[in-house]
Amino acid sequence: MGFFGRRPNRDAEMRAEMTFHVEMEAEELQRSGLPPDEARRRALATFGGVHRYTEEGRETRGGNWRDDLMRDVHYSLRALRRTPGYTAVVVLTLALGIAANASIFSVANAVLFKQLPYRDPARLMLLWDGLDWVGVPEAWVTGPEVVRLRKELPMFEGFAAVRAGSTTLGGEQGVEPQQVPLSSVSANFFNVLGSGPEHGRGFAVGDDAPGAARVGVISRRLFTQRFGGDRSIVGKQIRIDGAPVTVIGVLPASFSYAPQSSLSTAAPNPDIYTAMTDTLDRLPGSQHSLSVLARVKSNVGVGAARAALAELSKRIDEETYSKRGFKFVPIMLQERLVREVRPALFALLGAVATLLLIMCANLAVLALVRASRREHEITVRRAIGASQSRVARQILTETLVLSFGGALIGTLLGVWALRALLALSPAGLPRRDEIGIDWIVLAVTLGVALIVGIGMGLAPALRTARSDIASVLREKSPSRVGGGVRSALVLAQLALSMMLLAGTGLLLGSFVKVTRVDPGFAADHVLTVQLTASRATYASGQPVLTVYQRYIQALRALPGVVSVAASAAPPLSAGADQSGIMFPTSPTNTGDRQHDVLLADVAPHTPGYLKTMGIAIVEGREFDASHNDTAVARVAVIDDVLAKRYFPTSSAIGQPVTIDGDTMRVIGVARHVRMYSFEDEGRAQLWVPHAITPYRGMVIAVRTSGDPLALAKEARRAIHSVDAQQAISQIGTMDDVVRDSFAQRRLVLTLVGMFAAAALLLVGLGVYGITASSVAQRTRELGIRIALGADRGRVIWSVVGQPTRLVAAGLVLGLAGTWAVGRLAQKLLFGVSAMDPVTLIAVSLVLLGVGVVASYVPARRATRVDPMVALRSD
Amino acid sequence: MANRTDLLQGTLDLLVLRTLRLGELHGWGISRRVRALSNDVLQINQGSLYPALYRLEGRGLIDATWGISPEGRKAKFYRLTDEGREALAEERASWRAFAGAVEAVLKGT
Repeated sequence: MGFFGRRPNRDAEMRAEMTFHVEMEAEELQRSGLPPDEARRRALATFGGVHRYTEEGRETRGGNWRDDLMRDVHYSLRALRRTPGYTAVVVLTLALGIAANASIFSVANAVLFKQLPYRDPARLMLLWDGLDWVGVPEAWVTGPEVVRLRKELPMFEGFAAVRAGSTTLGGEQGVEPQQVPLSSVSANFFNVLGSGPEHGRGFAVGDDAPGAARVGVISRRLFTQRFGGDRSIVGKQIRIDGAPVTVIGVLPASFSYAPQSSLSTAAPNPDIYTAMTDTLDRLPGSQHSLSVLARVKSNVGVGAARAALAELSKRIDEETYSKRGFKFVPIMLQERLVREVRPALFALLGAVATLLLIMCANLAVLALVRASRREHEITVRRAIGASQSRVARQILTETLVLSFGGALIGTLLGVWALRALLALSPAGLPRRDEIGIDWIVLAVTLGVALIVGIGMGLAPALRTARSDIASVLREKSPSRVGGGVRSALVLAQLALSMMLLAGTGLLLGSFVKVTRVDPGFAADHVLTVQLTASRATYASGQPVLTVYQRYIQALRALPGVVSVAASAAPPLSAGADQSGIMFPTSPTNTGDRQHDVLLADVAPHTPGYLKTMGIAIVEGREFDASHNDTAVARVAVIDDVLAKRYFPTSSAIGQPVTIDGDTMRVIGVARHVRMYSFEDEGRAQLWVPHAITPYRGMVIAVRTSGDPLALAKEARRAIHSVDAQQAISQIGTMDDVVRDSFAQRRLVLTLVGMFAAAALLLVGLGVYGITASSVAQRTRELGIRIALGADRGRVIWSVVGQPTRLVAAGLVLGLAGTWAVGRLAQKLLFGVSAMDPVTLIAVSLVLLGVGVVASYVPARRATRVDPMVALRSD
Repeated sequence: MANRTDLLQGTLDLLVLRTLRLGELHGWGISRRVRALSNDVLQINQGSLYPALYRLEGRGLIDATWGISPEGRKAKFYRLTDEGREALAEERASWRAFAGAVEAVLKGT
């Protein structure tokens, strides 16, 4: 009877038949003496609503799936409306889970999975010089190497060279000068990248010719913020470091290419691109200064291109590096961009998925309980002929309605959660602008809702459909069938929670260890002011030195200032240069250069910097005012790492040190400072006076007696009192620099911790539920045992025993899971092993504690059962 | 809790088939006959009756045709098919066996 056309007929027939039944009944009642109205009313009442039965009659026969679906959805909504408490709990739980999932997936999707917004991005790679023998696996490439790459590797469409830096933008009438990030790029850069300006043009051949008029392309941000979005800027001149540059193009808002430094900290997106003068072949072969972007030709496999690159590497190694093991290190652009955040994002994805699984198991238990409460109703439906699959489908429909409701609210919450997540995320998060809830996120959320809906409905659906009608009808109380499934679900929750908890414990342990690392400096009470002395105003050399001395003097004069000094590479800035250094008089020298020369971080600073930054002087002294004089400034301060390595038993003071061939005299030994992060010890360090290398870009550190930030405004004014045109790139406290360096770790810890807390709550409810229902089922038995004088403790144990064994089993399973997860998350850990016994024991105790409390509460209730009540209870 | 109607539903098929053995009847007639034959002890819940009838019809144990009732109204009449007759015999035998077993147990105590 399944085809469409018959349905209305069939319904009409059923209605007619049942109306007939009611009329006959009414007539008979009338004959027995009731008034006609009353007779009809009573007949209808005994029948119980004609409509309802036509519906159930139809259900019995089955029908086409669309009608069934609509009816099931209706039926579910009706049933759920009758139990608003259950509905609200389930929908809200799911909404929270799905919101967390959607927001974290949005980030992972944009950062890890989405294609880069360039033409055929899978063919883009970055090239580095691998100089392993000096301890630099990814060094910048030299000019002559780029020339050879272009000449000898035709399977690449192009090699673009990029040099990132910053510049002072200004000089226009009445506009405050501004320090902006700038990239100097080879003329083919936009072609190789496969993206470019939306107004105007990109660079063309000739723009990079020596002596050509300088041209630049500006970012959308600069275009709107500084030039008011006026397109007539194209063709006009702006001043960069005082020199005129003609704007030839404006990039679209979506354009983003964060230059990759060889030192893992991503630079900000440039606001200005200028054409690099094409003198690559004339650059010294020892100057590793270029970041190289390469595009593989579309008709060549990436593998073949890599092989050709390896070939060329071998030739260059022989010809230039006397076979010390030089090689080009190619890294796909996408891979490189996300390398720093990938482990954290995968950890978060894993954690949120685990939480969702726990929720799913928890809700499956709830659905199971709900189904067993409705067992009677369902059994009656089965008895009047609803098939097993119909009943199962109905239960699944209900859980799906719930999960889709949760997904709907969850997605809305997710928009908000994502905003909060982005506000908390570290500034270095790549591809931040691309993050949002797009259709991929929506599709995945929908998929998750589907899986969750089926997951939580499967157990009750299968069980109810399979249950034997007769046995249910014969039994008085709701059956205990399904205890096994329920235990399994709670067990799964326990194991997964254990993993989340252990993860939180390990991350927390790592966080504590990281923050306890002695960074070698004192961050408190330090204000830092980042500047670049403009090329237009100050010629290189002495003028730069002088202006910095004047800035320092002006700042020193402020009330509340203890000391002031400038450094090109303050702690955590990754701002140092790398140079090969050696100590000619060291007793450890062997004569083998490879052994004697060490690649160290080298940076200049002004007198008094070590004191200002709170860096302890181990031996000797630091630079003083006399070292502002270039004639006497050929001195250096080394860190204790270098001192120990080269002068293990004697003093390094007074010894000569050569830096790229230049010789200085060591006058002091200072504590090693964390230059990159708290986690990373970094390279050995050597400091030289600013007078030796008068860098334009410096960070002035101001040690204050009070709140450093309160001084920010006056510091700005003091600098402008020296040079009103001086652009200030950044001003902030060293404490904030330290705090920001923990941002990613803190965010991951906070989120995983929140998920673990939620998991603990859920698992506590799960254990409570399973104990409480076993107590409810055993009320009579427990009552009898107590009446017969059983010891209360033994009664409690008889109830708590099973859940306790469950928790123990969960712990064991969870430990196994933790072992697997810990190995995957190794990169996020610091100072603790993935199987850190203290963490694991603590976490086990927490979970065990929750399990014991959750089962003890209902168990205690069992001992208070009044035997008389228990015996009478049925 | 022990609900007589529920117990009946388990054996509803048997009762319906049994009442139809004597000839064709409409739904109301079936429910009245069961009541009469059981001396008013057994009441078929109408809500269960019609679904059961459709199900039996679906399984081919009974047949339905529209006709005119003795009261002169249009009504749907059900009657046993040959398969229905066989099924009735089988179910009756198993019911008897079951009832006999219960009786034996009851006598035993």
